[in-house]
Amino acid sequence: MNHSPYFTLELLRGGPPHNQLVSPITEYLALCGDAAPHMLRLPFEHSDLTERLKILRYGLKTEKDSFRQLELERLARQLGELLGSIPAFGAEISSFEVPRNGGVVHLRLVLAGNELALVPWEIVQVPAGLPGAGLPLVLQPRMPISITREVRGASRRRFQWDREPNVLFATADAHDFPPNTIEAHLLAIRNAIEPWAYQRVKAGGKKEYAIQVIERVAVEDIRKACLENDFTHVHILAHGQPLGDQDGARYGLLMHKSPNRSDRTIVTGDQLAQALLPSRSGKRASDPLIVTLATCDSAQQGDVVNPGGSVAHDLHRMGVPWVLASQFPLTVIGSVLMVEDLYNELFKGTDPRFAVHQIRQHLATQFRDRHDWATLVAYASFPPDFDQQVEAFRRRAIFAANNRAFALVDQAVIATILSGGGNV
Amino acid sequence: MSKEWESPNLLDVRRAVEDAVEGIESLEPKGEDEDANQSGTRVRAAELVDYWGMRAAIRKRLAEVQFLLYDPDWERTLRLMLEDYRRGLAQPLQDHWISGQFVVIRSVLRLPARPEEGQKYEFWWEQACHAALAGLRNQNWVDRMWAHSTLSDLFMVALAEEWEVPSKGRVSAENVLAELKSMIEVGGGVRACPALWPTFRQFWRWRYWWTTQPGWSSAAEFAYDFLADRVGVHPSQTPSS
Repeated sequence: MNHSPYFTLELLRGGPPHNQLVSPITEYLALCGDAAPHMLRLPFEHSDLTERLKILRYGLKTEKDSFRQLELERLARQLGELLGSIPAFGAEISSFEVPRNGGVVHLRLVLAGNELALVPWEIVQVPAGLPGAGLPLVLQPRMPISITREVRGASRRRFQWDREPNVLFATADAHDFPPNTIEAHLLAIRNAIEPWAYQRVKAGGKKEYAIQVIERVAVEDIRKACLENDFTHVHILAHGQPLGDQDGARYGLLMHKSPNRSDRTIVTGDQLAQALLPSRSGKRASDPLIVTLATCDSAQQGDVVNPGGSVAHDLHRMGVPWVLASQFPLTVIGSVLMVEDLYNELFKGTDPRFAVHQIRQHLATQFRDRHDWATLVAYASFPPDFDQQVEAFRRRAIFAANNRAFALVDQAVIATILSGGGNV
Repeated sequence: MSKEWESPNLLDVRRAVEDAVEGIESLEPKGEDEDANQSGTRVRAAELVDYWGMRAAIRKRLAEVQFLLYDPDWERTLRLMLEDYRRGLAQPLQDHWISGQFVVIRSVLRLPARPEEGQKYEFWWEQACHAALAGLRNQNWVDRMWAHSTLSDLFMVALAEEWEVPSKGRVSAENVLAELKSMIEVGGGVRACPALWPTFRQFWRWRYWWTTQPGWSSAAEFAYDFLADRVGVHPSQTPSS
């Protein structure tokens, strides 16, 4: 069994999570691995950071991609210097060997303070003095690293990773997206779950794809579906929409109203969490393992003054073990690529930390003028037996692939018999 | 031909089976895990036998689709399969499944198997036959059903190799048929017998793929036709889904 080596970086401060702007005078306690605490200050003012983030949100409306590249590099370097100033950070990374037979080193980022969620940690460069210095930490090939974010206390949550996949695909109206976007997402999920469709196939029997699709979705539809089914994966395709008109407003998901689907509404993370995790009479509460938000800005913190966070943060805080979301706008092509790679790997039993790392690399390969690789944010929980659970699911996936192989060869042989009497 | 039986693209099938082989190979026990004597538990020994048997079974499917693709590599794949069964036989606990399939594939590959000096029967042949015959005395009907299935396979080997079956002597095509009939009866009849489909598939292999030796070709034909009638797979019939 592979154990993913990991280390934790916790950034803590006193006071409630909200109502604190990003400021260079705020001191944070950085706890890295088992080392002594280190005091840290962010090198930005709040307005400085939010203005710079607009550039990373493709807000300049200019043909000159060099501005975006320059800002990405500048911010990444500053973040690299910031993390490099933590004495234990470099020591932790240096202590790991490059994982053999694949695998990644996992950096668990635990952030206490909503303003910290504004910072695009995923773009950070490798600090000076470390192998790969100056390169994006999550892309450099010297030491494969996967970053996840965590709300403090989320890993006390117990869940069962080893479950047969059952997918809910909830999407807004097809006209919200370029043509065939919904079909592309659905096809990607269907292709990925194909091996699992043979679990109960007897000779000549039909495959069963455990995918339920809800189009023009209202949040009530999601709640109803979760009351009746045990979904493991929920995939939501919808636009992100600001919840208010003010600059830096928080984002929600643009969904439909029920029963009149022509009316639209913006659904918050809290509302979505309540719909995904309803208590159920006579059985345990709905418990999806991963919610994927193919939605721009679904991990964008926005407002830090009021309680709450991005949709992704709120889902994770409310108890969804894994949430994959976007902190910047995500291209449609990028979203399709992400869906294809993500579900292919997850349903094969790949460790999700490695899957996220692979997706970033693939996105970085695909686009010259976009940083979709940095857009992806993973909020994730890790109970103590997570490695064992991932391995157990991988074994289950291997046996699902076996079932499929047996069924397909049966089908091929029988078709041969029926067409020619048995002789090849 | 009904939609359920339309031929899938064989290259896609091969890819799917190769993926499955890769997956099961990744579960190979390493080091001390492999030696159930060291781990010292019957459960672990049974798990290891299951592993090697499963690995061989999926490799058999790969060889089968290679055969359908006219890829001569199928013979090499069967040799790898034999090695998987050999690893299963190295465990302290086995049943007739592993030993039976081992002697079947060894015979299909026409590999030499001679009794040791002073012995009447080749070692694994004798082991497989005794294990299958013992299975007929099992209280559990499922085990008895599978024992009949294994015996039908072993009798095919006996015909090809012109061997005697321990406790039974020489066998014929009628003996093969008799085992298949018993298998179906013990298994609850044509509609219910869980071993019927896999055994039919095995006899397709005997009939159309492995029939390289004259000793078993007529037995293979009789047995295959008998089973094909019962599962309802003939060019003139389409099975119910």
